Amino acid sequence: MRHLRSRTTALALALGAGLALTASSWSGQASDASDASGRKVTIVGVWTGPEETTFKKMVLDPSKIDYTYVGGRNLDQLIRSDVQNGTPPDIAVVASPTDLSEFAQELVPLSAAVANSTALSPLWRKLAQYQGQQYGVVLKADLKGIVWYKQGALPSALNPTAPTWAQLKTLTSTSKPWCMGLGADAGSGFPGTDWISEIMLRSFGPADYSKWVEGQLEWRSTQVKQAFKTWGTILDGVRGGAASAMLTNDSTAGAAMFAPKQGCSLDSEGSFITSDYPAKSSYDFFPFPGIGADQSGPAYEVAANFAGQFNHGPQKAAATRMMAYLAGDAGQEQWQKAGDYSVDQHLQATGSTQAAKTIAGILQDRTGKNATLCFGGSDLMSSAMSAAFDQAVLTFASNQSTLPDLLKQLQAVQDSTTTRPGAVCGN
Amino acid sequence: MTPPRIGFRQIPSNTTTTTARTLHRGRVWLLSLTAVTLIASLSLFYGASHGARIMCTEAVPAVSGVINARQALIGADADAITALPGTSAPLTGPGNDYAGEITLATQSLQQVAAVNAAGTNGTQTLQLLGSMISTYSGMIENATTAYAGGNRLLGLSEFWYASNFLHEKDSLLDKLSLLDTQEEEALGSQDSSFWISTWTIPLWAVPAAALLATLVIMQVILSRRLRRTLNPGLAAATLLAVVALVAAPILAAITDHRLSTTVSTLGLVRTDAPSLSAEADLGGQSSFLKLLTKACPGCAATRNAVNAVTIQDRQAKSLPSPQVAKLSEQTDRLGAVASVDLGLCIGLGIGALAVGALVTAGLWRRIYEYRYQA
Repeated sequence: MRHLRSRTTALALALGAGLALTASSWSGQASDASDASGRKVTIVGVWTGPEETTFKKMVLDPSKIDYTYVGGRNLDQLIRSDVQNGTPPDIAVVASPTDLSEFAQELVPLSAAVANSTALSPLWRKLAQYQGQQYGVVLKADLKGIVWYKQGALPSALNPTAPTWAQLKTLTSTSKPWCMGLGADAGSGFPGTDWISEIMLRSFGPADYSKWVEGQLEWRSTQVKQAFKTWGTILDGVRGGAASAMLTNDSTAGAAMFAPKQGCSLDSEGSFITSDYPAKSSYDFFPFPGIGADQSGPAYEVAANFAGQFNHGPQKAAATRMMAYLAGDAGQEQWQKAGDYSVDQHLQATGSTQAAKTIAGILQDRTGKNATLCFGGSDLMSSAMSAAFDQAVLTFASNQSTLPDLLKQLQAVQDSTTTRPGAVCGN
Repeated sequence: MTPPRIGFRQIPSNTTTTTARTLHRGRVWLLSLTAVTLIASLSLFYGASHGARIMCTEAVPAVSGVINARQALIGADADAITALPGTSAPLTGPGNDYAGEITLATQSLQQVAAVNAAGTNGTQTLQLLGSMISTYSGMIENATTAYAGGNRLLGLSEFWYASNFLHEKDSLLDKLSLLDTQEEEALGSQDSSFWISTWTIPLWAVPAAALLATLVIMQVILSRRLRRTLNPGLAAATLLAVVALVAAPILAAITDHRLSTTVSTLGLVRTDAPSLSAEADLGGQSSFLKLLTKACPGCAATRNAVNAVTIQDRQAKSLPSPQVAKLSEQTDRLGAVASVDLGLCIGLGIGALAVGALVTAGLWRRIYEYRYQA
């Protein structure tokens, strides 16, 4: 009967593929003048709703290049089927460099001028390289591994300038301070993988973190096992426990900090989360403290969106112009104006609040502290590995006793993957 | 055309009489006006019937496809959650009803894809929807497997992620609405109302009136100057022109009336469509709410979000039932009137040729007779 489910999935996939074929290609139909002239660049991206509006109005429109944009939350599958059909979009905006590297053979290699390489630190350049060749550009970046709190409401048990892990651990066991939501539609579970990645980085330093992300440190290793267990104690520090974390959305969990009767007081999330906080709320952050004995200096987990250009049809020249604009100073400045973070070192590290300026400075490597930036672990893993990791944290959250079995299964997925990231940590 | 020579003296053409010149000019005017009126009438009717055809073959199937897909997806979601508490074996999956609804949703979108009028934008949205349905389907299967395998919290959570993927802002159902809007906008630009609007009436009425007036004037000239009581050729041409010129606008007006009625019903169906799936969605979301409250009494934010969906469902339930049957009937009637357009175009063409031939024949002998007389 297992076949029943498989058959339903296969049916849906087959019908979906049929639909895709029936619907023709991204640029196959010339329904308007711009399409007919072949100058309209087709872009698919991960942003929908307000983010999509911002991207179009603040970033794409000023380019003066004709485009069509469609935003969706599950682009991997869509791009994969379009590439297989020979009808990929001109440009794809994805949430991780791995999403691009899996299509490296289909992507247009980019010159240093198009990628605006001189404006990027080595890590940001390497992340979107495949076999030494640039195939993607960074659009906007975010800082992860930081803990947000309502301004003026930092729990008194924490050191106001630099809370320590010991303080956090005590607070976790005594007052359940953590806001947490593991729900994120098709990407549910990713907040948990961010937690595990952060704990790995803070506990064992960039070296072991890199090995783990690259698949050289086994999932069944002591380090990974310990990271899961540490996260397990954090889960116990969520009001309502694991059930509450699992049945709450990532984007809404932090709002409880700003309720008249605070539901939680600490929210470990990337810098992108502030756009989901209630309007006019005041907040600040502190970096997640070191957990282990690693003394390799300050390290931050980061994330970014990347764009890649598919070698596709008569729009190639216009698409290359669009890529150059998006990666260039003009396009990056537009991101900053929209309130997002750029890693373009030609630009000033700006922000509307002190917290935002600090984040911009870290991302552009302007802190002067020689901080190490490490890209988010699950974002650098193969899509199969990343999906399995998402599923594993959800299963672990629902029943922590499943950990040994889960780690065994994760290792099996790792053993079957060949994807290796271009870079993990650096500056 | 060369005049007959037998029994007549060859006269140079520049010696043609005033009467002959008047007749000659009249003939040229009549033939020209016949041609212009034919073109105007054909354009008028083609414009009206084109809109009707687009409505029957593209707009109605596109809107129906989107409505059916929406209904099927919401039905699938409700089927999946309703079946969840009774799911005891991991092998049964989300059930046959659920699988049937997913198949129906995808087939409905294939129907939209076949008549997609929104070009690249529509294609992009359709492709995205195809991919999203596959993802949704996978998420529901994960939920069922986990729940049936004994991990109820995980199963319930996974169902909620899937249901959110369907209901949430900018998710699957919103993309369906986007597709609906894209198709509506694309098809709206092909509305035939231009061809029947007040200010376009002169485009075909002026040449038609001019033709009729010229035919009458020619009869009068023939009657007064040449003392002919009635020119049979011109009289027959006048009769034909009247018939043809009255028939085309009437048929176009009927087409346009039926088209606007169908457009209006289509708009109502589109507005009222959420009521079709409100009952099923309310059932599904209410079932989920019960399981959620039991599994997580403290999940107030999530309960509020689900409650918000049920409030929308209750509002949608109060909408009138969409007039789907009426739309189908009106589409058939519109299709019937639109289908006669080829015959009418041929009829108009033959009619115009006949008018031209009758004018030529009616004036031929008079022009020839009076070529030398003042």
